[in-house]
Amino acid sequence: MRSLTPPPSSPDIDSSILDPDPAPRPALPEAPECFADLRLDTIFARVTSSVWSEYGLERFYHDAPTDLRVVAFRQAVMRETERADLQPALLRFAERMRAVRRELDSQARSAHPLEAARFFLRAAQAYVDAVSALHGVLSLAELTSEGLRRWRDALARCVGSTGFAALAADCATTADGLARVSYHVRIDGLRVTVMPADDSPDYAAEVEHLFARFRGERMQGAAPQSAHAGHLDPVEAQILTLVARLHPAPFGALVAFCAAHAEFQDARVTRFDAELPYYLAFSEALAPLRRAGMTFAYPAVSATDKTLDLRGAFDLALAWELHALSRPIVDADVSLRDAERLMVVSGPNSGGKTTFARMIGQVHYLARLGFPVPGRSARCPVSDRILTHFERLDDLREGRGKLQDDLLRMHRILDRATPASLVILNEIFASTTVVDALYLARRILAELSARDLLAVCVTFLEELSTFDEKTVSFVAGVDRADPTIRTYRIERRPADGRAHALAIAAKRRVTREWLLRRLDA
Amino acid sequence: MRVGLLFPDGRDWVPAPLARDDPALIQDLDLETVATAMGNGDAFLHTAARNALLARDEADAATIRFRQEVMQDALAHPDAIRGLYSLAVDADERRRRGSFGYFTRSAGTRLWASVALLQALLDVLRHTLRSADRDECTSRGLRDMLGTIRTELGGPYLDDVARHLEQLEFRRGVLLSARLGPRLEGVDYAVRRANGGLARRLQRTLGRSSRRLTFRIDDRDEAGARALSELKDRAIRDVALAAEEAATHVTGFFEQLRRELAFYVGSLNLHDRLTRLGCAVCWPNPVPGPEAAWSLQGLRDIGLVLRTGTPVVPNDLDADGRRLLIVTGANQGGKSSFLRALGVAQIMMRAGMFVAAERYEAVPPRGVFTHFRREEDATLTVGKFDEELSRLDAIVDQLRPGSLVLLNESFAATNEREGSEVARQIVTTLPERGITVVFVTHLHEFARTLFDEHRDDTLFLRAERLADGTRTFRVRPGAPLETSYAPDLYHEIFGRPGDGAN
Repeated sequence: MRSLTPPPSSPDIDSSILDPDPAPRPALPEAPECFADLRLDTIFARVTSSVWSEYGLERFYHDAPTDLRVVAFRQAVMRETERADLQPALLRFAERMRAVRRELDSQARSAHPLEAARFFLRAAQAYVDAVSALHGVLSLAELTSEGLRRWRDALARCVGSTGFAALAADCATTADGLARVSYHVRIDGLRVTVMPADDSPDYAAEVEHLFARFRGERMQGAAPQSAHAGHLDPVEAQILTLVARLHPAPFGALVAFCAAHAEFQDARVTRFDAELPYYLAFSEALAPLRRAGMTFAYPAVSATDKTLDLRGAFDLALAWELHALSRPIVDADVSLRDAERLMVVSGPNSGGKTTFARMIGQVHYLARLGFPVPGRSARCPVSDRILTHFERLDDLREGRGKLQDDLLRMHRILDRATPASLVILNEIFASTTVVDALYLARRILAELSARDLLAVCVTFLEELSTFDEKTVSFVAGVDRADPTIRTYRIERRPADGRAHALAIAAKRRVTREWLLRRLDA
Repeated sequence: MRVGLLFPDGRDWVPAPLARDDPALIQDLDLETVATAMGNGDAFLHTAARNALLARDEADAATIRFRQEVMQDALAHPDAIRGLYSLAVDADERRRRGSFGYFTRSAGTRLWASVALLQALLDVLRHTLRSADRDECTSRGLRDMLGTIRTELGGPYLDDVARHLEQLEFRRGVLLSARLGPRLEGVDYAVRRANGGLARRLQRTLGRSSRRLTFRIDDRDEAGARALSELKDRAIRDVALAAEEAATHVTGFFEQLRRELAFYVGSLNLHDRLTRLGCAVCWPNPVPGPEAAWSLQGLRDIGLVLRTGTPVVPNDLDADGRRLLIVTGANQGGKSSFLRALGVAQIMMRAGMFVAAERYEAVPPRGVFTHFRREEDATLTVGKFDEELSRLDAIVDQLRPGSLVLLNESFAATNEREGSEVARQIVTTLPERGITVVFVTHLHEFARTLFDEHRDDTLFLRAERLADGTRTFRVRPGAPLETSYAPDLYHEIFGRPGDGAN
């Protein structure tokens, strides 16, 4: 018997759930330049962690479509994979297919032929379970997305084949025969005897009865020491050989099974299995946030309309971090109307400005992948590029050399920016004088404005907030009641703030009104 | 087997880990001084005392009386209680010393260690029974505990156990049953008693042992021998587990006995100490709520008695029907000491102990909370007033009807007018929800306004200061006065005659 690995997907397979017209994609595209600035690297590191790490999903996530048709195709599939009646079945499918790979891997590494054969049988069982169960669910479901409908047809052809039916039947009978085998072993010194099972009484039960009165709560830390993480040790292997001689029939069936079903995986199934985690991994990563009450919305996307309208949007990377600390996240509304294109964000340090800028970039990128975005509702254009320029904190240089680098980077961005691009500038020229910074920033904003593209500019220069008629001012807020507190709330408005004792008492929920409410709760 | 010396329903007393505001409570009420006296140099007793004082479990009047009875037993037979305690310590230390525990990996070793420990503990149990038989106990707690040991572990049973322990060594090999698992490995290994089954004996008689297949591990095959002993180990796991659970249970009993007796032994220590210092103690009378009741005579600040070694000035209080106590008056006049004495007495009554008073009657509090002015400011980012209120915020989360809140110079970290308004909202609202508040304050505007309203639920107390400026350290009913006598203090410290004090 030879070891099996899933065959590579071939171009003639008829259904992809990622592209309406499947085309070969680059083997492993590099992450877009904006990834680190927007913390998309953090986001997708989390998405591809845990069970999803084995799929190489980065090759999909680094390559966001710019074609509205593809975006819409994926969004439709994503919506369906998130349906409560479908997602559990899809997750189970992926889990079983992972089990198939694990068992085949164990088989390849097994030194004992009988044990290897059993791993192979278990791989086949997991495969049959995966395919049959998913077919059962999908065949009854009302599907609307083009991607999943095409896959369902492919799946039906696969399950309907005679090969699959034989595989399923043989799996069941072979496994059943082996599960019925039982025997006795006597260990005396180094001598081991295997014999048929008989009715000798259970001594452990007698001892347990003796000590029964002391059995309050079960002991902790005394969990069964599962000796084998993986394979049979030499003693078990010898015992197994003798057990097989005591019970020749079920072991004969196992040998026959391996010969008959050497190649049991269908290429259509393996392709689906490779692509499905693109959706499941992202959805699972959002699950804890959704349970905590955060909402995600499928954005209305457009190739022509540049309207940006986000309600209750937030930074996804930060959301996980705050969730882990059980702290609430502050969201923001962004609504650009008509010709408004340029968002200038000013306000106090550490007031949430950078987070706001990242959030806008993340929304644009996630929308292109067909994913729901953080917030109650969202509308945004399909951008062709997301270009970012963030102040590098680790760059200690100052003066001319650094300014020169900054300008070179800006130049590159302007070279590549088209009217369909999103540009995000974060505290550029922060290390130069105010006069210089103002002069340069105005030049840059004029260039961006001329291209009529969407841009976010985070700055300490309040003068920029009234740059031109396309400019909208956003301000990082402080608490009106207690100006020592930053709210991290970014609001569309020009700027202001003050404190007294009762306001602090209200903040701490110890005014009379609050106390009554709390004590009566 | 339950110890049940602290709860009438026989429940185990399990000390909770320090809560977030326990350090503040310990510091504010000087509980460490009390716990130190109870520990009397023994770290275990000290910790147990602190845990008992800080306990947050519900302690109703019945529980308090139950503990008072056990404690009276202890005071009547101090030597018997201390003797029982040292047996419990002995058993508990055996457990700590032994190789018994989760760290020994192999089931064989664990089985052996458990068996050895069980045998040692059974000896201690026999001693316990003998020593307990001698003494006349009248309290329900002690009588029930000793009765349990006697019925659960009579002599015949212990002998039965000893016989089985010998068999558990498996000197003549071990017979196992098994099935095939998911990797064709053996699973569900179970030890069988050989020669026990009828079919087995028949087989032997009829000579049908032909279907036996045997192999032998080579003497030099170390890996094989190890694998075999691991297999055997897995098989006797259930047996080892049962023995280990039994050993754990018996050690757990002694551990619990030690923990619960430690509270009473600590109380004995404190009682000895206070009696020697001439400080009066009495059994408090716990009154069921919800109506406010709090009256006492000759109450002393235990911490101060212990630290100074003198029976300090006692105070009286008659606050039945009052939920808000406002204490004003001279600096260094004994206000804080009075506040501490009240708090500690409520805590000790709640724990089931005696209190340092001549007469004491009160509703047991459902939680005691302190909010004392802090000298240092922990952080720079949050204002001091904000920090004060954030501590209060955390306290409010835990308040229930029947809780006691002790405020010492709270709300002073802002100007007086604003502080007064905030103070008023807080200290008048809490009593409306059944929470008792004692507030030591210098906020004059607040205290005066409240006094002029003649509220029925409010009692005004004042630290006494004689006409010549002498402080008696007595706190008596009295209206708030105009000044806080800070000039007095100033002059006392700086030693110049006053020229503008009024």
